[in-house]
Amino acid sequence: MSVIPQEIPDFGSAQLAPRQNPSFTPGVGFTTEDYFVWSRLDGHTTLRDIILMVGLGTDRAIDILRKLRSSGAVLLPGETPDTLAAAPPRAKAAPPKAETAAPEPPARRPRPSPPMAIVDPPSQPVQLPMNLDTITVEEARALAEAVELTDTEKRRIIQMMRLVSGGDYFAILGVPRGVDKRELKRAYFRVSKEFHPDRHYAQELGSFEPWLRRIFETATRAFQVLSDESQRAAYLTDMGEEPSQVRLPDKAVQAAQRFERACVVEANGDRQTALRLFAAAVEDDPQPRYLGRAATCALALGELSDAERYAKNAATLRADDASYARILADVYRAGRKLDEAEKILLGALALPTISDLMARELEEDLKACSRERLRRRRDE
Amino acid sequence: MSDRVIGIDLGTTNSCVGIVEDGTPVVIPNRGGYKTTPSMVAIAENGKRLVGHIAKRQAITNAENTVYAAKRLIGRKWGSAAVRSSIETMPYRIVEGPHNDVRVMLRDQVFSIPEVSAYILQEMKIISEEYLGEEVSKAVVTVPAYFNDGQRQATKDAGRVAGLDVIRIINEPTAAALAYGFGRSMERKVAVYDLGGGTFDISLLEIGNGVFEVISTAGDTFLGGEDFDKRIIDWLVFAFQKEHKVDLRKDKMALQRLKDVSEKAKCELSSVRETEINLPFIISTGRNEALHLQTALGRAKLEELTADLIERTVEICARTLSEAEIDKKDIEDVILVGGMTRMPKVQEMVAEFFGMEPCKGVHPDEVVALGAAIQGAALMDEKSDVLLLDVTPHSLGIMIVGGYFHRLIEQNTTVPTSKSHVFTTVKDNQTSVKILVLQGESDRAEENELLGEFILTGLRRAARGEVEVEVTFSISADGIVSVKAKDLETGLEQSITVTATSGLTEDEIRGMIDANKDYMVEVRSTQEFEKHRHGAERMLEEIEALFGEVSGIISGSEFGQDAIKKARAVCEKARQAIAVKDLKTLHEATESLGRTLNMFKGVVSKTRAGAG
Repeated sequence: MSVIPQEIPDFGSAQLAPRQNPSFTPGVGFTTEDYFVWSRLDGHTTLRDIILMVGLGTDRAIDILRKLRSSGAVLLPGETPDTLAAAPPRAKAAPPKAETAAPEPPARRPRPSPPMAIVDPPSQPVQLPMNLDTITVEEARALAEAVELTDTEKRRIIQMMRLVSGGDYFAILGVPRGVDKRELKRAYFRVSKEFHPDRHYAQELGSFEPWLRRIFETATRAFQVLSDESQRAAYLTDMGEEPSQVRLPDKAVQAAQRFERACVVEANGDRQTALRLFAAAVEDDPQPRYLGRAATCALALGELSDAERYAKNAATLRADDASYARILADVYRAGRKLDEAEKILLGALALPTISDLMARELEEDLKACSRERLRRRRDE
Repeated sequence: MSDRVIGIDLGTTNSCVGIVEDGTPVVIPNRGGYKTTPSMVAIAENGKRLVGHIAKRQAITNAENTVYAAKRLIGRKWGSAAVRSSIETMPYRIVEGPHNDVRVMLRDQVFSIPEVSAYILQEMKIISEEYLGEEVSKAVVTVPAYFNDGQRQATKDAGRVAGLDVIRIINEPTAAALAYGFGRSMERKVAVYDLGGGTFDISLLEIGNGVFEVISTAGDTFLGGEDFDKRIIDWLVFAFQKEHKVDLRKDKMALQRLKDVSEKAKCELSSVRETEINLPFIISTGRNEALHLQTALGRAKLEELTADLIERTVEICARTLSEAEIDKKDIEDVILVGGMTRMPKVQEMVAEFFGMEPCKGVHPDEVVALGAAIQGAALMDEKSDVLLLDVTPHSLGIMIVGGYFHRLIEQNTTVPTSKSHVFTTVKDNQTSVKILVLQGESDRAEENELLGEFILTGLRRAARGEVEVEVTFSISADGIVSVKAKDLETGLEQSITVTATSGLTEDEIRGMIDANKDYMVEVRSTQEFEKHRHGAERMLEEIEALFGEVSGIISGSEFGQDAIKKARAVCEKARQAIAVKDLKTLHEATESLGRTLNMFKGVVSKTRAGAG
């Protein structure tokens, strides 16, 4: 390995620790190697260490550093970003550029935005711009806390928290807008591997503890939203990015929405409307859960024939779930069909899968049946 | 004390312990050299506690005082179906505890179930300490995916009683996947089919670059190897009843023998096509005569007897896949866990369902403990290459008007997670709301497990629906649930951390820890004493062998006579210390013995050299 010189052309001493220029936008002609070297600049690592760590060979590394320096991507200690530096709101951050092989998008962004992350092979750590030029009081206090985190770890968490506050799911996961599912999962795993609270299990983290948790929870949410096509479309619309995408919800989605609304309406006491909504949901998607709620609602309204139809359907679809058997039995009991109710309850009690709690409930129901029978006999 | 974490697979029938050594997970063998230890605890006639292989070896003769399959009872309530069926089939006495919980009675002594499990965990702790040569205080313990909070908490309590800090409870199938994917660079979806002694679990995971994400997990707590045994028992009992008009199940001794032989036959039929079942003198007819049971069981018959059980596991697999919206084709490997997966028919059905041969690279009995050890090491090491993204096995929510269960956090949500929802008052001038925290999958509140409750008071008097209360649920990475309710108008807050009850109070657990500490000290000193006794006895033998020769050489001088007298005293002291089991004296005596033996050897060698 060649010796690293004491002085690096364009920089000065090899002991200087450069950082990224936050107002710099990488553009055409940037290779993955350039990105990689650039991503190492954190304001702490010296030029010498950067040259050592990137593993590209001294000459190549110096070449790249000089190229970065000449294109304005690097700041040395004491330097400040130029006048163009006013950072746009984070939420509308530009997508990071994917692979160098990909053609440059024809439309240029109107304003330069800070680069957020790049797509890298899964073995690489999450890449974040490390500079923290303007820090808030809260962040400064956190940085000063005596906790079991290195300064770099603290800075990375703070940087990530800023992305979380910005609410740009793509930036949080460090993926471009058109990311596919596979790459999305990789990105989610990459973020998890660095920011999951278990990475710092049983360590004293102070303010960073709730932050780590929030970062991971947001990353999980981001992953969920972006990996579901309709949720991603809705998210993009909310972000004001894809207003054209008006998609008709499919039947299942519509049924789910109706069902949710019906539950709310019923809780507010309007059973008539709730039943109509339940009926509509069941029509589109006759799943046992919907049928069960529809039956209970119909039963409460005294619509016994509807209730029986729904309950029977649910109990048939999920013959192994005692919950639906209980609903059907309730309907039978209301219709004074005690024999049927008992038969259903006994059948449910014989299911091998029922929980202790369910068994108790079923026994209670059976007792209620026999009390009912006695009462009826007395009445006659 | 070290920071090393052991991984324990606390099984229904067998337990196993592992650790990560120099980056490699290994199973720790017990004193007998076995890699698994029977999950059995017994109280012997002299009141001594027996655990593991010793307990199993005396299980038939001491059936009433030997607990096995305690895992089926842990965290359960008295009167539950599982407890009732255990009372019918178990030879040991199951009694009601003071908190609607379950206890066992062995030789007039009552033990809680976490205590019994603690004895097994403690055995695993001792096994690892002997192997590592240092004290172990932290463990990751596995449970079936379908264990509820109460059962998980009871398992943690058992750890505390055993002197172990259970730093994490993880699901058995998840642990298996960790062991399967550890150290292998891969990106794939896998299914873990776990058919153990007492439960069946199916889990779907995605593995990528050291991250293990649980996508979905489901199972059946009442389906396992013991059900297979039961089918054989029933078959034997039925045939016997037909022939002799005697119900063997009524006799506990006979039942235990039937159980043993059924389990053995089942295991044998995984490698042979037919096995002999031979139980001489199975039951007495009362006229000084005994009946014998002798028959043969073929693999085909066993498969016929248990076809519906295997079928049920496949149905659960199909449902889990469809609920997770995962295509069978996307599953790239199937990992088999649990002794029952050795049954050829099980392997065949699994292969048929998933359309591929299951992975043969993992050991079904050891893989879970290895995975637990891997997770333990990963938690302690910030730079570990392994991260487990676990999920909550049950939905969480609150009871809302109408007796419905409103879910805030759905089943299979990755933890840590939190979710809020705004609820309104349901009555005019309602000034307080009661928050009932529930866990389960039913839409009806009463069919779900009640985890805790609290009341938020001081709400403004207003028409119904006007006052808004925000309820926030959060689950931490180690599965601890906390719930907060906030009056959005006044900012008033109430919160609780939900701790499921294991059926034991804090005081009871503390009492058990103390009682067990004494036992631990006793075990330790016994072990140490045995070690010293062994060394002392060997030295005594050597000294005795040299005594004649040495006294012949040195008794001539006054100094020599004195030395011999001293040597005699040293030997006597050591013998006495052994006789009264006095470790401290023996320790001192051992040192003196060493000096005496060296002196003797010196005298002899000098004289022999001089003579030669």
